[in-house]
Parts: sequence; C-alpha cells; structure tokens
Amino acid sequence: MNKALKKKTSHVLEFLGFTMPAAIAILLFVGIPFLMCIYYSFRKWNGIQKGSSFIGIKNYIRAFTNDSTFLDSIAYTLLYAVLAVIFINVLALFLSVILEQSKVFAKGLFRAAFYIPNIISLIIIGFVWKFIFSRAFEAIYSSTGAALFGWSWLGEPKLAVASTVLVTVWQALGFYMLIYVAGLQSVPDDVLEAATIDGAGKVRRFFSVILPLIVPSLTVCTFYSIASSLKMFELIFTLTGGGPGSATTSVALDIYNTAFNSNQYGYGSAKSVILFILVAVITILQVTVFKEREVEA
Amino acid sequence: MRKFLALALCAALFTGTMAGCAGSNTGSSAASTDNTASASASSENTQPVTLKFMLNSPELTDQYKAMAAEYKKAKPNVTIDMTIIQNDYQTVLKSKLNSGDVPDLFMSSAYNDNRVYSDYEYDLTNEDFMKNIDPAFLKAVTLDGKVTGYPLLVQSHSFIYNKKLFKDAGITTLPTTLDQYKEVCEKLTAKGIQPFSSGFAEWWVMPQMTYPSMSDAYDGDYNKLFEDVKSGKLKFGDLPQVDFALDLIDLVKKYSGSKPMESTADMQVSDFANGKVAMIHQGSWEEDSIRKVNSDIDMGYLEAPRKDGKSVIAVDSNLTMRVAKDSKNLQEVLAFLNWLTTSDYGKSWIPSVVKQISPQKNAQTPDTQLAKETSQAVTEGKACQWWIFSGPDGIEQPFGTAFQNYAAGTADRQKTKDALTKLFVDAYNAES
Amino acid sequence: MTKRKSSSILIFIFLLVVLAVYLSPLVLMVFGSFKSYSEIMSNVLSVPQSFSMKNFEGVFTSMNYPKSFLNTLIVTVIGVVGIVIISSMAGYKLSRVKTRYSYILFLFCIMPMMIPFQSFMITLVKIARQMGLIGNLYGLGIIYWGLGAPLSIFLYHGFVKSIPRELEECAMLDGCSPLRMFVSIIFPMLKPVTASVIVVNAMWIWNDFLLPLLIIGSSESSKTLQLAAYGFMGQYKMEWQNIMAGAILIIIPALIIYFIFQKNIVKGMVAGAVKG
Repeated sequence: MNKALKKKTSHVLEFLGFTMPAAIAILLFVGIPFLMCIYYSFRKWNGIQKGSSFIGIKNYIRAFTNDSTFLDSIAYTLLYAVLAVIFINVLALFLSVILEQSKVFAKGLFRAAFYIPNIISLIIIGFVWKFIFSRAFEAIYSSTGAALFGWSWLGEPKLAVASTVLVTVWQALGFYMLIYVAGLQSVPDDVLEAATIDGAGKVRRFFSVILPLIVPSLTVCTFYSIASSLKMFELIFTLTGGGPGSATTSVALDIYNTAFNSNQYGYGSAKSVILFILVAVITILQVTVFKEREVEA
Repeated sequence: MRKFLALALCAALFTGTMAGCAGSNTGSSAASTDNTASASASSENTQPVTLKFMLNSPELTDQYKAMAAEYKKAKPNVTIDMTIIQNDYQTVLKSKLNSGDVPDLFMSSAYNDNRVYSDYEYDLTNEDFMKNIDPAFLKAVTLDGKVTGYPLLVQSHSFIYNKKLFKDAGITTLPTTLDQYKEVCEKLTAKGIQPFSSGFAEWWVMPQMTYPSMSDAYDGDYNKLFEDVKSGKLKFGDLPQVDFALDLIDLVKKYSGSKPMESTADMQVSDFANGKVAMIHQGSWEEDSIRKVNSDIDMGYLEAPRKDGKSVIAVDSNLTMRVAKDSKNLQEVLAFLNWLTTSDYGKSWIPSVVKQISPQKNAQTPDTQLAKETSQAVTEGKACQWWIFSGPDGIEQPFGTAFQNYAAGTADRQKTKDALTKLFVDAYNAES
Repeated sequence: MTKRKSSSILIFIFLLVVLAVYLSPLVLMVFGSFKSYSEIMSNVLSVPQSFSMKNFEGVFTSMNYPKSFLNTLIVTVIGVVGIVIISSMAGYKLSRVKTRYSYILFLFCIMPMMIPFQSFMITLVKIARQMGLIGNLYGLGIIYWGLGAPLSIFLYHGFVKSIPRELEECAMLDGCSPLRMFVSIIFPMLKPVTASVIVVNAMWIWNDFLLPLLIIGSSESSKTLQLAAYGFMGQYKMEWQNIMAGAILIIIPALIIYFIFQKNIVKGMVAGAVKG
C-alpha cells in the first residue's frame, strides 16, 4: 500500500518535473499577462493613467451592439481566413504532390526556394510588396499596357482584400509545403504501387489513396493556418495599414487601433478576449472534424 | 640626451596639470564655503548619468543625435539614450509607462494629451527657462493653469506647390477658394501635369488636409464647439464645414491620378520632389525630405480654402516634450531643457539644425522656404490652430479612417457624416 | 519509360516557371539593393547598371552590423536552446501520460497560439520588468521560452507518439532514471523534429521586431539586427535601395541557418505532421 503510494508520488513528481519548466514559462509570459487582459476587459481604462474603473460587461455589449468597425473587421477576418486557408492548403498540397510524385531534378533546391519568403520578416515583406504594387506594377503597366497592372491593388477595397490574401499565401506557402512534403514522404511506396497496379489514374490515386493517408498533415496545416490567419496583424499592418479606409482591417489590427491609437485599452482587451474565443472555437471544431477523418483512414 | 629631454618635458607637463588640478580644487572648495548647495550640485555633476528619452519623428534622427552630442560636450557626465520611433511609438510608450520603466523624458501631442499623461508629467510652471517660450505656444500645453509640457517645435501644414509647374501651366494667381483650386487643377491637367499626389493611404493626411478647411466651425470658438458635441447638442457630422471638407476630398481625389488611395506620405514626397505632381498636402517637416531628393526645387505654401471665403495655413506647436515627474534624474532633465532653451547652441538648434520654427521668444527664423512662409502667414493673421486636438482623446485615427472610407467609396456622404458624429460620441463616452 | 521522362521534364519546366514568378519580388529586391536612388526611381525593373556595393557598405556601417549580428545571435541561441529543452521534455511527457490532467495541461500549453500578441504585450512587459528581464539580451531570450514553447510542444507532442514505448520500458527495467533515459534515449530519437523546432523558432526570433523593441529599446550596445534596420527605415524612409540592402543583410544569415538544418527538417516534419 505504502509502496504503491510512493510509486504514484514519484510518477507525479516525474510528470511535474518534465512539464513544469515549459508550463511555468508559458504561465509567466502568456498566461498571467492574458489573465490581466481579461481583467481589463471589464474596466474602463485608457492604457496610460494609473486608475481604471469597473464597468461590468459594458465593453462586451458595446463590441457587439455599437461598433460597426469591429463587426466589419470580423467579417473581413473571416473572409480573409477562409481564402487564405483554402489557397495556402490547396496550392501547397498541389505543389508538394507535383514535387514529390515526379522524379524532378534538384528537389531539395525547389523546396528551399519556395521556403525563402518564409524566412523574411513580415515587416520587410510588407515593404517589398508595397514597392511591387506601386512602383513595379506601374513600370510594367507603362511598358506592356496590361490592364491587370494598372489596377489599384492596394487602393481599391476589393482588390486590397485580394492583395492581402495574395501576399499571405506567397509568404506562407513554403512553410506549409514543407509539412505536406513530409507527409507525402511517409506514404509507404507499396501502397502507391498497389494502387498503380490496380490501374488507378494519377488524379484518382491522389484522392482515393494519398489524401486519406495524409489527413494528419492536413490537420496540422489547417489548424496552424486557421489560427495564424485569424489573428493576422503584422503583414496587414505593414502592407495596407488596414486600408483603404477600413477595408482590410483585421480583428487584431482593430484591437491594436482601439487600444493604442484611440486610447481605449479596456475596450481593446474585451475585443481581444472575443477574438481568443473565436479562434479557440473555430480551431477546436476544425481539429475535432479532422480527427474523426483520421480514424476513418 | 633626447630621452632626458622627453622626460623633462613630461615632468613639466605633469606638474602643469597638477597645478591646474590643484587650482580648480581650491576654487571649488572656496566656493563650497560660500555656498554648500552649489558644491553638492557640482559634486553631483561629475557622477555619470544616463537620461532616457523617448522621441518620435524619426526623420529628425540626425538632428537629435547632433543635439545629444553637443550636450555631451557641455556636460560630459551626462549621456542621452534616445529611443526614436514612429509607428510603434504609442505601443512602446504605453508599455514602458505601465511597467514602471518610465523614460525620463518622452514626447506626445499637446492639448488633450495634457490630461492623458497627467499621472506622469512634471509641472513646468515654475521653471525659469519656460519664460523663454512664446506665451502663444504655451497655451497648447497648459492644463488648468499649469504648464504640463515643453513645446518643442512649431510646425505647419497646407498644400505645398511646385512654382515651376504652376508657371508652366500659366497659373499666375494662387488659388484660395475651392473653385479656384478646381480651375488650377484643370489648367494643370490640360498641360499634362498631374495636380495632386493625395497621401490618402495614410490615415493622418486627410484629417490634416481638412482641419484648416474646417477651422471656421463655430467661428473658431472650439471650446464651445466641443462642449456642444460632448453634451450632444451638436452632431459633429451636421457641421456645414464637414460638407465643405468632403467637397475638398472629392476634388483632391479627382485630380490625384489613377491610384489616389495608394499614395503614401513617402510617395507624396518623392512624386512632388521629382516634379511628377504639382501639389501635395504636407507639412513643414517634409521640406528637408523633399530637398534631399531635389535640392533646388522651388516650392511654397498655398493657403487652404475655407467655407467662409478666408484661406489659411495650419500652424501649431503640437510636438511636446514631457518630463517624468518621478524620474530619478529630474534635476538633470530640467538642466537639459534649460540648456536647450538658454544656451547658444540650444537656442539655435531648432532654427538652424532642425530648420523648423522654434517656439522660443525672439528665436531666429529658419532659412527654409516653408518656415518663412509660415511666419509670414502668422503675422498676416492667416494661420489656424490644430483645433481637433482640443477634442476628445484618441479621435484622430478614427477620424482619418472615416474620411478614407469616404474617399475609397465604401461609405457615402451621409454614412460618413453619421460615422463622424458617432466616433465623437464614442470617444467622449470612453474618456474616464 | 520515355513518356515518363518527358513528363518529368515538363513538370520540371512548369516548376521552374512557377518558381520564377514566385521569386520575382525577391529578385527585384536584390536588383534594387544595388541601384542608386535615381536609378531605382527611373528603372524599376531593369538589372542594375553596376553591381556596386555602396549601399551595402553604408547600411553595414549604419546598422553597426557585426555587433548587431552578434546580439541577434545571442538572443536567438538563448531562445532556441531554452525552447528546445523545455518543449521536448513537456511534449514528451504530455504525449506519454494519458490522464485528464495531462490533457488539460496540454491544452493550456498550446492555448497561446490562439491569442494575438498585442493583447497581452503591455502586461508582459510589466512582468518582465518585475523579473529584471528588461534591457538585456538574456532577458529577451528567456521571454521567448514562454512565447515559443506552445508551437514546439505541439510538434513534439505529435512526434513522440511514433516512438515505440518498448525502448523506454527496457531502459526502466535496467534501472535507468527518467531524466537520464530522456537525455540518452528519447531526445536523440527526437532529432528530426528538433531540427524543425530549431528552424521555425530561429527564423521567428531572428526576424522578430516588436518584442526586442519593447525589451531592449534603444540601448546601442544591445541592438538586434531588426532594431538596427528599423532605425534607418524610419530615418531614410524613402531610400528603398538602402532598405533593400539592409533586408538582404538580415536575410542571409537566416538563409544559412535554414540550409544547415533543412535536411533534418523534412524528416522531422514527417513524423511531427503525420502523428499531429
């Protein structure tokens, strides 16, 4: 009896010893700060003065009933996330399959080349693309006359939405390709051979054999792409600044503007909590749905 | 023999310095018998001190550095550690203030920021050097009779025009009304010159462009105006000046080429400096940048049109230095501001190094075109203040976004007016 | 056989075209970094007239490159090493122990991936200051432990599932202590995923700007590359050529880090992703 207890305690201690360093670091640098954010979400505070006052759930009520900018930013973010997640995953998967299923020369070099945009900071990415959309497109337009390059990619609300998605996909593609390539490499060769012998065409082979086997990679990629596109901030901040007007203002950018430019930190905190809940609900739903598929496969 | 000579020389030099040292020592000890306070002050002076400054306007980086280097010469024991940022300024300042890592001196706007930073700012009312500041500019930093900050620069903004392009288009009289602006644009367009680079991609350009044109609201009684907005007696969007401002935006947008919403402040400057466009709405702070690209461009201010027929240039001292009242080095920071206000270099730093207008009394006028024209406009009574800053806290960006939405076509005129009304109501509600 | 070869050539050409379009923005950036201001304004698209290193030299000095490079390296190494140690341990245990508490702790650990940084940054700085982590490179590196652990734990957690338990059981019977077993048996087997954790975190820390700005600020002696680059971006805001040259100077070391670890990364992602 005593021995069993002792064994249990030592197991618990071992568990704590392994997990606590990370858990404490996360608690200190994210957990507690975010708890403070929840605390401020119930208060009226400008983020500067030393005093703040409790106002209950008024900030939350305001966000949902009296702030069209916030609701618009949710609509934009959802649209942006849907487009970005679909394009990123479809393109990354497509390119990875082409790269992996063929006997192309210098595969590693291709992989590395697609990964390059991912090692550049988003501040520089935003800067370079601004240069492309303004100066480079202008130059191409004046020499070729192709209407496409004469459009105002960052100045026309709908085009600006497309531009933010385009640059996001461009930047992120390499990262997701890496995960898909890895998933594809793990598909056993004998399974593929069996499918080829059965006479399955390339397209059919992909959908009926390969795809079910790489659902785990899909889970990871969609989870990560959903979470990061729903809270996208830097790229939009440097590329469009949320503009023209508020056409590309994401929720994270709206939170930033509210808390730091309009000096309504308490209210911005409430919006942060709402964004957190939104991301959590969507990603948990996504993971649950995908996990079921994994079992089937 | 040579060695001996060198040694002798050394010895001579050594005794010389020793003597010098001793001399100064006796000097200071003599002083200390007269006045213990100054002795303790001078002994403090030799302690190495690092002052932390948080500054915005990174275009002045070189000038800030020159100033710090000069101060190092005047006071070798004091090092000024400057953080100079623009985009993330608000974010970093808020984080620092809240964490207790308060910079010894930081910058903000004037007017409503006087109240926003009231928990941190040192009351400069009784500082001697503040007497050297022109009372006209002290108004902007005064809250309930107390001077809450140090006005750094006087800046101005309006439409800047390229004199040569105007001449090429045969424009002889400068526009002062909306109709005349339109005529000018027609003439420029007929000559194949693009009239404006809009700057509409920046949220702050459109508000700056419209404040002067709206400065006749309530006949200039802005306190009454904002009282009425606060009490709900006036819906901001119902001001007739808002309509006028929207007309101005329409005009500028129409004549800003094919991508008006993509024009950033940098593009305004480069388009203007390279002679691609004839006019931009920008401020005196950009003259230096324009001249960096094209040193001999001939430019000047146009007066912004207004509903009442008068035309004005917006002039104010908005960049404000605030001293942290709980700073460990409070006396050193005050000594620095004293130096900036009373020493020869300090006095001439803004007019001749920054090349903008100094808010100090009897300051020399900088030798830059826009600054000269600003001084002239002030003497002629053709200046308006940056009145929007008398309104509620944090209004500027949402204000600009509302105008951007109008210019981008996502909000029509009525929707824009409603949005303006609402954001003032929201901002007053949010003030604690 | 020949059919297969020709289709493979077609695919090669197709990929080459895609890649050319894909990397063209970066090619423009490289071209731009060699041009003068007037050349970049007049000839946006063309190859530079001469490949002069003038911009690079100027930027190199104004960024105080060697010092900033070293500072960035210190922060990155401290951050990445810490993240790898704490995340591999936690990811391993959380994956092996299948109790409800373990699952809750796992959820807590990956939750930060759903929170935007801006919403907790003010209080983060406050806590960092109370812990004395402000103003120095080591403090900055340590803060990254908490911010980088979530994704890394997520990756380790998935990978550990693919390691057979038998090994551990054998070691246990041999009387190996848990920590010793982890260090000498488990961790070496995690090598592939460790490589990807290193790359992902190194790229991120190398390129991070806002946190260094908040923690290090202006201090000349501990500026990172990003802070140094930002300094001249604000000051010379229109001088595209200098900004592009600076960007390239920051990218090159990151590219080298990537190439060092890239072989392992692919293998690492395999398992991490598959069992995710």
